[in-house]
Formats: sequence, C-alpha cells, structure tokens
Amino acid sequence: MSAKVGLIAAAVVVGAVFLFLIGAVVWTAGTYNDLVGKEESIDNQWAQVENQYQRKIDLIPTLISTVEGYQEFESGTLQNVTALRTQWMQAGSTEEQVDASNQLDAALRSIILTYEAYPYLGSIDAVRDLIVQLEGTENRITVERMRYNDAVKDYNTRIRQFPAVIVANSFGFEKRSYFESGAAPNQPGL
Amino acid sequence: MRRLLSVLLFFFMMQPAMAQYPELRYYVTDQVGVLLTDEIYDIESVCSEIYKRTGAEMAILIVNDTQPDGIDLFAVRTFEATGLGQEGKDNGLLILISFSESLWRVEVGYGLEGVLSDARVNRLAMEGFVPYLNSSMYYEGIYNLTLAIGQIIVDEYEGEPPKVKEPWYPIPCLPLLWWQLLIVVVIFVAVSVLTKGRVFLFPFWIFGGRGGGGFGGGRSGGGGARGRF
Repeated sequence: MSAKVGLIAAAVVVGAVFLFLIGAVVWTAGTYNDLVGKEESIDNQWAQVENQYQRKIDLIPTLISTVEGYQEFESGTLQNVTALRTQWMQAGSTEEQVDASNQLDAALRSIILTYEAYPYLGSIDAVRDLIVQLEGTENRITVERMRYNDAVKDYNTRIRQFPAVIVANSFGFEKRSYFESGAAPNQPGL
Repeated sequence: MRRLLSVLLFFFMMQPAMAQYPELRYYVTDQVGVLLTDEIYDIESVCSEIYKRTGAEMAILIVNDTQPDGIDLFAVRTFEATGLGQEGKDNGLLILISFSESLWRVEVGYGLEGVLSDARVNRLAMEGFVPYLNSSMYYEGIYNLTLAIGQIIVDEYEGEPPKVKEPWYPIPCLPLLWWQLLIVVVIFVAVSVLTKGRVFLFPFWIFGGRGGGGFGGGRSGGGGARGRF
C-alpha cells in the first residue's frame, strides 16, 4: 500500500518536473524568437535609413544642374557637393560614408540658406521644387533614423530585462548602438 | 458596496489620459477653434468621399503649437499614433497646421508618395492654401487643399474602395445583436438596482459627440512638404 503511495508521489514529482522543463523550453524558444524578431526589425529599419541616404545622393546631380544656372549659388559650394557625392559613393567603410554624408549635409545646408536669402529664387518653379525635395529627403532621413533608434532602444531594453536577459546572454545577443547624427553605429555598410 | 461602485463608475468615466501626440478620431480635428462646425462638416464630407472612392484616409489637424518636437516630428508621430491610411497600404495623409507658430505641414503616407511628391504638394499648398492662411481664411485654405489633394488621389492613386461591411442589426440605430442587447439589458438592470437608478445618467455620456472615427494602421516616412504662412 505504502509502496503504491510512494509510486504515485514519484510519478507526480516526475510529471511536475517534466511539465516545468517543457514550460522552460517553450518560454526560451519564445523569448529567443522575440529577440530575433527585434534584431531583424533593427536591420530592416537600417535598410530604410540607407534607402533615404541613397535618395539624397541620387537627387544631387539634378539639383546641381538646376541651380548652377543661377549665380547666387557659389560655384565652389556646388563643386564641393559633387565632390562629396563622389566621396560618398567611393567610401569603403561606414565611418567614411557617415563622414562624407555629414560634410555633404553642411554643404547642402548652405545651398538652402542661399535659396532662402534670395526670395526671388522661390518664384522659380524648378529651383523651388528641388529645394523642397531636398528638404524632403532630409526629413525622411531624420524620420527613418529616429525609427532606427526606436527599434534599437526597444531591443536593448529587452535584452537587459530579467528574465529575457538569461536568454540574451546564453545565445549571445549583444547590445546595438544608436545612430547619433555624428557617429555611425556598428552596421555593415551604409 | 457603495464605495466599490463609485470606484468602478469613476474608472468608467475616466477619460483616457491625454497623450502627447493626439490620436485623431475624425477627419477634421480643430484644437484651436478656427473652424465653424458646418465648415468642419464640409471638409469632412470631402475626406469621406475620397475614402469611399479610393480607401485613402485624409485627416486635418489644427493645433496651437507643436513644441517641443517641432512640426516635422510632431506630424510623423501623430500620423503614427493615429495610424492614418489602411494597414499595409499606408495610404494616409495628414494636413497639420500649427496656429501660434504659423507653420503648416502635409505629411504623406508611404503609399501616396508616388502620386504626391514633395514638390507637387508644395505647389498645391502655395497655390490654394498658404495665401488663404496668410489672411486667416482657414476654412477656404484647408478646403482648397483638401479638394486639390483629393482630386489627385481620386484621379491617379490606384486604390480600392474599402469593402463596406453592412452589419445586420435587428434594431435600427442600435448597433447591437440580440444577444449583445440582452447582456446589456441584464447588466443595466442589475446596475440600476444597485445604484438606485442613478445609472440612467449613463447614456448621456456614452452617446455624446460625433459618430465616426477610427483610422487604419498606416505609416508615413517624412514625405510631404512644409512651410510658413
């Protein structure tokens, strides 16, 4: 009789342990997949940032050929923009690209300042359209960069939270860096 | 028991906390009060027509200011919070006016960027929108821009009209099925017994206000145009 009770007790314990293990495996898998998904959305968002940079680079030849007819724009600035575009396209590393892109932004800003300084330029449709497009690409980059940082924040918070931190550590999920406008995050290619 | 009920009622009546970015419920949201009610209805009827024909969701928001974010970020965040446009199609559009800053911005959803380029939106705004805002004719300006953008969307955007799901309700003017109605009645009777009839004030704060609202899950990526007026 007592042997039977012992047997039942043992079965209950084994069952409980078994259930616990299954639960642990299911939870680990779920957390792992969640982290993979978050990491994937960071990469996806990074691709969006890259797209918008490409868009800006693609706009430059049209911009230059349109505004170079107006003497208000300094030819030195325009040549500089073209040179920086080439530099951007030839850049090998992410750092170089971000560096070229920052210099490019400064040069483009001075074009916009020139445009704003001469109100009559605003009445020329072709020029105005291009400036509007340029401002548009800037804004798009800002937006996608912000979303990239949101995705990174979401992921970084998750991998540091208990209990997900256990899964993150044992599977080697590492902290990702933010994209501040000055420095490039560790990403393959820009 | 009383206390429990009053606590419950308190939670019921509590308005959702004011978010930093407004989640729009209607086509036109005027937080400043520059539009008259029938002017709002006029503009909304244009938006509604565009939605019926193409599924594109346009919204107009007038706020006092957009600080601390600035109008660009504020527009994107509001767009996102509201989810303008159908999910997956991102065919939403937001016309935002910041009253005290004298700024406007048109935020175009990803799906509409193809027909509404930044330059095109800017031109439309310069033609029939900004001149009116300059002389404080908000209704005329907004109406013109809504119509002009709407015309382009209707002509060029290949959207599908939303599938109209006409729900079949047994009682006119009451969007409930029989069993739902039964549950509501049972709860009502129970609660009214418990609150000694005070609950009959309830319908007044449930059915107040305009009907409508609820946008899809669309997103934008900073496309559009902006300017001063």
